Amino acid sequence: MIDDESSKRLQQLLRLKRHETPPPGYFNEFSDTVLDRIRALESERAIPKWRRWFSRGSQSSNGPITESGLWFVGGWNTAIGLSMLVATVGGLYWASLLTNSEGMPDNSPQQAARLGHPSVVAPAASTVMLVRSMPELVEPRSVQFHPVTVSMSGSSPELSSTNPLPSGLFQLPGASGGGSEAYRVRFGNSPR
Amino acid sequence: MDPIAESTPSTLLGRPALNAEEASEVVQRVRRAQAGDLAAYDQLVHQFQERIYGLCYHMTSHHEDAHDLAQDTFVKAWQALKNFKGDSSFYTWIYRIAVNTCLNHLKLRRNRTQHLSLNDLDLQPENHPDLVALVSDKTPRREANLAELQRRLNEAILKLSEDHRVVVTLHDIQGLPHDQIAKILGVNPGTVRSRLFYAHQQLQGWLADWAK
Repeated sequence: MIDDESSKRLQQLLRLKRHETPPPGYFNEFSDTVLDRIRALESERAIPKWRRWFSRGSQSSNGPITESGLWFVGGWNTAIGLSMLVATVGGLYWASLLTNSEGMPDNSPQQAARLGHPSVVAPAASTVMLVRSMPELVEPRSVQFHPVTVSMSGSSPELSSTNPLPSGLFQLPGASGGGSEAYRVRFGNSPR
Repeated sequence: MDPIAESTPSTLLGRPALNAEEASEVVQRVRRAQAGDLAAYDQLVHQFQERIYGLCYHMTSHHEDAHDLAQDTFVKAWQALKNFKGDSSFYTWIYRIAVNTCLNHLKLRRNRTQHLSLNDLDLQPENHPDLVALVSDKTPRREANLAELQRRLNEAILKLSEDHRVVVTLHDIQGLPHDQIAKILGVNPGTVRSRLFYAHQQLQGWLADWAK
C-alpha cells in the first residue's frame, strides 16, 4: 500500500513535468500552420475528385502541378503517360495499315492491286461492300481476272505470262530448281 | 446552462480557471467557427494550443511528435466541428480528440519501432522552486543531477501502459479532476481512480529512490 507521504512525494515529482514546456516563441506560428493546413484541405475538397487524382499523380512524381486551365496536363507523369498511350495506339494503327498492304503475301490479290498493274484487278474491300449493298449499281461480272503462268527455270521462277509483272515477284513454294514447271495462278475470287 | 459553456477545469498547468466572460467567449467562438469563421477558430487554437500540446508531449515524451499530434488534433477538430452538438464542453471534446490522436499514434509507433526521445527536453527547470526544494532539502541523492531525475521520470512514465499513462498525464501533470478525465475517456470516474492507483503503484516502484 502506498502511504500518503510517498504518494504526495510522487505527485510532487510528476508535477515537475509541467515545466517541460517548449521554449518561448514556440507557439508563435503554431496556429498559422494549423490554419494553413485547414485552408489546404478546404481548397482540396473544392477540387473535383478526378482532378485531385491527376494532382496526386503529379505530386507523387515531383512534377509540376498545372494550376492553369490546362487541367489535362496534371504533371510530367501524366504527360508522359498520355504520350506513351498516344504513341502506342498510333503505332498499332500504323502497323495494322502496313499489315493490310505490305505485310501480305506477295502473291495476294491486294498486293497485286497495290502495284497498280492494269491486268490484275483485285476487288477492294470497298468494292465488295458496294457490290453487296448496291448490286444494281455495280456489275460484279465486270471484275476480270487474268490467269498468270509462271515457269520454273533454274533456281528462280520466271513469269511467262502475258502480264508484264516484274520477275521475281513470286516465290513459289516447292521451287527447288531444275525442270520446268508451269503454274497457273489465279487472283482474287474468280471461279477456279 | 449551455453545455458548450461548461466551465473549464480550474487547475490547468497552474492557470486560473476561465471566468464567466471567457467561457462565454469560447461559446461564441465555437459557434462562429461552426459557421465557417476561421478567425474564430484561430482564437480557439490560441486558447488551447499549449494544453493540447502538453497532453501530446507527456503522452509521447517527444517534442516533434507532440507538435505534429497537436496540429493533427486541431485539424481534425475543425473537420468535425460541424458535428459538435455541445453534448460536452468544447474543452472536453477537443481533449478527447487529442487523446485518441495520441493513442492511435502510439499504437502505430509501437508497431513500427520503439523510439524514445528523452534527451530533447527543451526547458531547463533547474531554477524552479519546487525542484530546487525537492533536490536540496529532502532528496537523499543530492549529488544526482536534474537531468538524471528528468530521465528517470520520463522513462517511468513511458513504461506505463497507455491507459495508465493518459490518466497520470491528465490528472497528475495537467491537473484535471477525475470526473473531467472520465468524460474525456468515456469511462466511469471509478475506473479513472482505479487506473491512477495502479499507475501510482508502478511509478512508486520505479522511482523508489526519488519518491521516498
